[in-house]
Amino acid sequence: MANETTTTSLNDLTNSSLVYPFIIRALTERPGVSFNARQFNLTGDFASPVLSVPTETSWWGSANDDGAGVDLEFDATQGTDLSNTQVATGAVTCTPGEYGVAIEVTDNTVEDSVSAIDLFGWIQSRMVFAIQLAEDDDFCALFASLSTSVGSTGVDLTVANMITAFQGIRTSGADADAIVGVLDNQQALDLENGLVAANAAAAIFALSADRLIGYMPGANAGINSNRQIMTFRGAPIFTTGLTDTANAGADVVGAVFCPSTAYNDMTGATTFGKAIKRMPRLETIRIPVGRSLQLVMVARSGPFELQDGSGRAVITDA
Amino acid sequence: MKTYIKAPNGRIVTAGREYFVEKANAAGVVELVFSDAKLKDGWSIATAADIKAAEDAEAKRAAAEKKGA
Repeated sequence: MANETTTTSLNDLTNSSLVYPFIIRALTERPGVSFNARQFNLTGDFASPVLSVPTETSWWGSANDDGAGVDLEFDATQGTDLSNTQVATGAVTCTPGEYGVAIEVTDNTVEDSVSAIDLFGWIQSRMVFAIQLAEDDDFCALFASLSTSVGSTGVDLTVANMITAFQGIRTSGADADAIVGVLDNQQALDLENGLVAANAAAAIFALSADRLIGYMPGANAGINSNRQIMTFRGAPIFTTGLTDTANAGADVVGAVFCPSTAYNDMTGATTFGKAIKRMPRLETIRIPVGRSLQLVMVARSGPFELQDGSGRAVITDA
Repeated sequence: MKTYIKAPNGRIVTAGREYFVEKANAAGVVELVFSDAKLKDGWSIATAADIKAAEDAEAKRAAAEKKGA
């Protein structure tokens, strides 16, 4: 029929759209991997931009050296004076770097936004989130510098690679009560594919192989916020997309290493440290000429390697 | 721009922030400068030739993989 009353005829009374007071969050990486580092608190009266942590230098040989450091060196003969053994130390250093993000919000934005959305609360929470991600990204960048790696360039990560990484940490002499793995998403996929791969030749001692691998899926298969995708040989394995690439993008770099625990810290097994010079701090400043408010979030910290031998870089096909 | 470093076994990785130190340039502006002293024994800065060789090797490998598939 004609002359219906529609939204067009009553367009002065109807809304074409209304903003719902809820923001759908962006899909993003999750911070948290740098919590595996031993934290060094440089806030307060630590009046230096550089942290130096002394390291012990072994004068009794290295791990897995077939006894080369002690087979003859400490043999004594009656009546013959002992010669001195020198004790020396080394150091690992860290220079915390700054992180910062500035966001300026005009008065118009505040005045014209949906009142039910806490605009500044949302922006502030994402500012600290972004800084956490930046810190975690720098932490993941440490993996590539570990001297010893497992995996081959251009080749997917295998179960055997992971076993080698775990064994290598023990062989290096690490005395640890915990090990953790942080893998690139591709590596996690390759590892899971490896675990379900079929083969005509089964392991001779299949049940022992299963116990050796010790695989357990993570809660919700790693899709929840902590990103623990599995337990492998008793160690939690996390995934992240913050890991770096290597070899001109051919490979991705994860790591298996010793996290900071009371025992690992005591024995020297802890692989990475994080010096915190300034906790995340939010400051705001009113800019009258711009009719706006500027929010600035800053932090100052730096990840660094404490013990090279207690970690293994996992470098495999991207 | 990223700086790449080369491990003793030839792998090329990105130099993380821990390799850089703050230094004032001639104009007095503080910059982040790569520090050779931070390199471990046997490591070096990757040259353009190193990176090109890695890229070529990856291109070759990817082509072979595609052909094989």
